[in-house]
Amino acid sequence: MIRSFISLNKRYILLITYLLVSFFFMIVNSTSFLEKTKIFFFNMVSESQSFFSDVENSVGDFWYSIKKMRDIKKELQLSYEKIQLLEDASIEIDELRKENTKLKTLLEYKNSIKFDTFSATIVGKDPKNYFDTIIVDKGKKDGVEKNMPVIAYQNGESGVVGKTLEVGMNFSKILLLTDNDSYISALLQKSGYTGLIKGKGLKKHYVSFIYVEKNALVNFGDRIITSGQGGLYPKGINIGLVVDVDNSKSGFYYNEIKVLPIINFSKLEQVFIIQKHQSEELNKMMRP
Amino acid sequence: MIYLFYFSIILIANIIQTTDIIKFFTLMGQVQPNFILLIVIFVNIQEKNSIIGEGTGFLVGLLEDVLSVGLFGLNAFLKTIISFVVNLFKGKFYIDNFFFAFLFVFLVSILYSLFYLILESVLVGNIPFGQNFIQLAFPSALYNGILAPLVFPFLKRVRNKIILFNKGK
Repeated sequence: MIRSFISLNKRYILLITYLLVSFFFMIVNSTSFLEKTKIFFFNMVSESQSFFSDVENSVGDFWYSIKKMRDIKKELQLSYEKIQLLEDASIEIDELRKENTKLKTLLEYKNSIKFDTFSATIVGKDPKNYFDTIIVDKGKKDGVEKNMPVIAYQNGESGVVGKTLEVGMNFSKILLLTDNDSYISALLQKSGYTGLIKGKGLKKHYVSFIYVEKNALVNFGDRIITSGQGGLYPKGINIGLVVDVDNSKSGFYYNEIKVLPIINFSKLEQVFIIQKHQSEELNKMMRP
Repeated sequence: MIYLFYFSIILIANIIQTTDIIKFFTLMGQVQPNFILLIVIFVNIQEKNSIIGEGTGFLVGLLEDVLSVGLFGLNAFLKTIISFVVNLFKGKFYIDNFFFAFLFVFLVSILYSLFYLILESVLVGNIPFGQNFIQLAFPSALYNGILAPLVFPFLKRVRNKIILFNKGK
């Protein structure tokens, strides 16, 4: 009878047993026997737990490394972008600094010039290659007129650039002294002998000093300046330095004196247009 | 063979629950699923023999007691009761349905947490019942409920394959 009762109610008997055992454990929770038993099983289980934890840690470390690498890659990319931005900014700052220094120098020069000038920026070059001309951003609106002398400042020295050839409303075309059609009355600064500076084209890199008497002693490095004759250019503006003297032909004048312009036209960015009336007045004042 | 499968998934659940692996499943810094409870529920649902299900609950709870610092026997007691409850309602829910699986596991989890917190409060004391229930138990039950329809079909498929394999032998 007991056996059949047990077999019929096996589930509930077991259930009650589980619950009673659990409850018993809860009651005798603090006894040393249970503590020891718990520690014994805990040591057993924790060994395997430690093993799995190590495995998990290794796997975790591996995944963490991959994740970290991905993060580092992203950070690196961001850093590269930042560096690029900083480099760009640095270049820009350098450019601005250079520009600032240049403008300061030009301003100092402008203040030191004894003429009234318009400061103009070169905005282009004549698209046709027949003439040595440049285009600047000042025109009639700014008071620029035709045949105004144009000078520039480079490496601490001022020099002739040319003259205004065509004047638009906002822009002007300047004929460079290197142009084949450019003639400037000039003189040797040291001896005072006069002549004409004639352009030879930009490709030649030099201009000719012609109609110079052979009596004049001409040496390498002699400075040529404007003579003030002709009424266009004020007297005393640098033109260039003598680089070669050709005395091969007989006659009253030197065959050719090669002069390297003070101004390097390939590096030219800013010019000063001398107001016409002033140059004329200055010439009148300088004439004997 | 099927018991080996149960033993394996209980072991895996224990490893996940008691090692740092659980941090991969932790949401909002503190909400964790209870994989051990999920497996106990699964075994009890799948196992026709209630004795095995309830026995599993008791043993799993006992193992948890060994590993945990709480009142010894509490987990064994609760897991046995939960196994009994699951067996009581087993077959009344269509557990393969996503929503029912969620609801069933969610309710069982809530019940488990309630029992646990009440017993802890009564037997140990100094347990912030409301705070623990709202901040931990309830989100954890939701988490379990969401995981159940994702985990159970997979485990069921493996279990069925093992049974088929055994029959084939």
